[in-house]
Amino acid sequence: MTTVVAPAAPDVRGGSIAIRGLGHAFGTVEALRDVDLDIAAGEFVSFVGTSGCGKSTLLNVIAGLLTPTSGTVTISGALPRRAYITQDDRLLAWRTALQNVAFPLELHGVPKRERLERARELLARVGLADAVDRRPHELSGGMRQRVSIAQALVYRPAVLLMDEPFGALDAWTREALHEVLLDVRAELGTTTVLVTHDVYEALSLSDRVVTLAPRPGRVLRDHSLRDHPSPRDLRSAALLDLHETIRADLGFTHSTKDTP
Amino acid sequence: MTVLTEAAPVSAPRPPRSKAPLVRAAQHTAVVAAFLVLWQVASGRWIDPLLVTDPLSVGRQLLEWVQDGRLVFHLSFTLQALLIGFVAGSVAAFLLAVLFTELPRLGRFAETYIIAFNAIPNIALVPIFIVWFGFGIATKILMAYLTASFIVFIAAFQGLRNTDARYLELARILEASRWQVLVKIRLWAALPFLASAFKMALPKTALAVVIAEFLGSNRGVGYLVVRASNLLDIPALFAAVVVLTALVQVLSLVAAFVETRLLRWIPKEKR
Repeated sequence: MTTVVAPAAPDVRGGSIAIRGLGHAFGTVEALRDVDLDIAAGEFVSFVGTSGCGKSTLLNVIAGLLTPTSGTVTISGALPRRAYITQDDRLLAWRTALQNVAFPLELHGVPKRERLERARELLARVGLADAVDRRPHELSGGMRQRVSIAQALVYRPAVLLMDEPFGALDAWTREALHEVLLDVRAELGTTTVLVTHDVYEALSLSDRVVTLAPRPGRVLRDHSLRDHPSPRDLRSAALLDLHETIRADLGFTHSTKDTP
Repeated sequence: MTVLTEAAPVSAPRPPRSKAPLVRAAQHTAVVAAFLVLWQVASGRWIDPLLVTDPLSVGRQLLEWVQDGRLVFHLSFTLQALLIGFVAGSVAAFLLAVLFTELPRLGRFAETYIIAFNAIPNIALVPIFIVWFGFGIATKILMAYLTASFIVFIAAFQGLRNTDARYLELARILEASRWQVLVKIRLWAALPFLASAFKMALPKTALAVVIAEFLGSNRGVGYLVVRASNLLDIPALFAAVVVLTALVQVLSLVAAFVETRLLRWIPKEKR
C-alpha cells in the first residue's frame, strides 16, 4: 500500500502515474476515497476542488511524502523522478539562491560547473539573474517561490508536482512564470500535476482538469482540454462553457460568465 | 485650486544610534582607569593593603610572571589540557550524536543515561580521577573532555534531531541518500545549536580544567591561584585571578567570533 516507483525506458522523459483504489485517512477523518486515475507521460493535469477536498493529500501521496492507507500509486519514468513545489518554499536557509537551485543536481552527482551553469540559466529564466547570491531570508516571498520553481525545473524531473505554486505571486509574475513553465515543459515533456483553486489557471495550463469533491475527497469529473490548443483564449465560448461546468461541479451556482 | 502642503518625510534616515566604536572604547577605558586609580589611592588609606592589595602590586606581579616565563609555563599547561579535552570531547560527542540520530531508537534509549550521567557534578569526580590518573595533565584533560562532551552532545543531538521537517521532505522528494541528508542537511541545520554549544562550552571547559588544577596540581593557572592563596600572597592571588578572567574572556570572544562566522546565513535578528 505504498507509492511504487517503477523503472522505465530511459528515453521517455515524462513519467506516467497510475493511481489505483487510493484511500487515505488521517485518524478517523477520511481524506481520500477510492481514487482511480491515470496520468499519461507528458500530460499536464490539474486538480481543482474546494478546500478540504483532499487535493493536497493526493499530491502528497504522489510525491511520496504520505503513505496511503489503501491503494497504490505507481510512477513509471526515468530518473530523476519527482519534483514538488508547494506554496511554502523548502529552500535551505544556508544556501544562496544559486546553490539552492543547484541542490537537486548536486544530490544526483552532476559536476559542479555544469550544475551551477544550469542553475544560473534557470534563475535567469524566472527573472532572478540578479539574485543568485542571495540567501532565502534576503528574498521576498514571491522571489523565494520563483527560486523553488527554478529548483524544480532545473532538475528535469519525470514528474513535476505543484501545489498552488503561484498562489502567493502577483498577476504579472504569475503569467510570466506560467510561460516559463509551459516552455520548459514543451522542451522536456515533463508530466505535470497542478493543484489549484484557480479555475482559470487550470484551464489555461492543463491538458486535463480533474475536479474533486470534498469529504471524503474523491474524483468527480475529468475534463479534457486536448481539443483546445495552446495558447488558449479563455474568453472563447467553449472555454467559458467549460469554466461554468467546472464551477458547477464544485457546487458554485451563480454564473461568472461575464467576468473572466 | 491646488493646495500645496509641505511634504513631511515619512521615513527620514535615522541618525546613527551607536557612537563610533572608538569613542565607546575610550569611555570604557576611562571608567576602568578611574576605578584602578581610585583603588590605588584608597589602598593603604581606607583599605587594608594586606587583604586587598593594590593595582600596582598586582601589575608588578603579572609583569614578573611574564618576565620569568611562569605565565607561559602555567598558561600553556592549562591551555593544552583545555584544547585536547575540548576537541576530543566535542568530536566524540558529535559523533555520538550523529550515531544516535541515525539510530533513533538507540538514541532515545541511551539519552536517558547520558542525561542522568550529566547530573553528576563533575567537580565531585576530580578526586576519583586523581586517584585513577594522578596529579598530572590526564586528570585535567579528562575533566575538559567530560565538560565539553556533555554540552556539545546535548546541543548536537537536539540540533540533528530537530531538523526542519520541510528540509527532510525536500530530501525525500529528491531521493537524497541517508548520507546526503546527514551531510548536506542535518549538519547544517544543527550548526546554530553547535555554535551556541561551543560558545557555552569553551569557557566552562576552561573553568573545569582550572578546578581540576585547584584540587591537585603543580602546574596551571588553577595552581597559581591555589599556591598564592596558600602563601597568603594577596597580589599574586589577584594576579592569578586576573589571568584566569582574561583567559575565560578571550575564550568567550573566540567562541563568539566563530559563531558569527559560521552563522552568516542566519538573519541577524534571529541569531
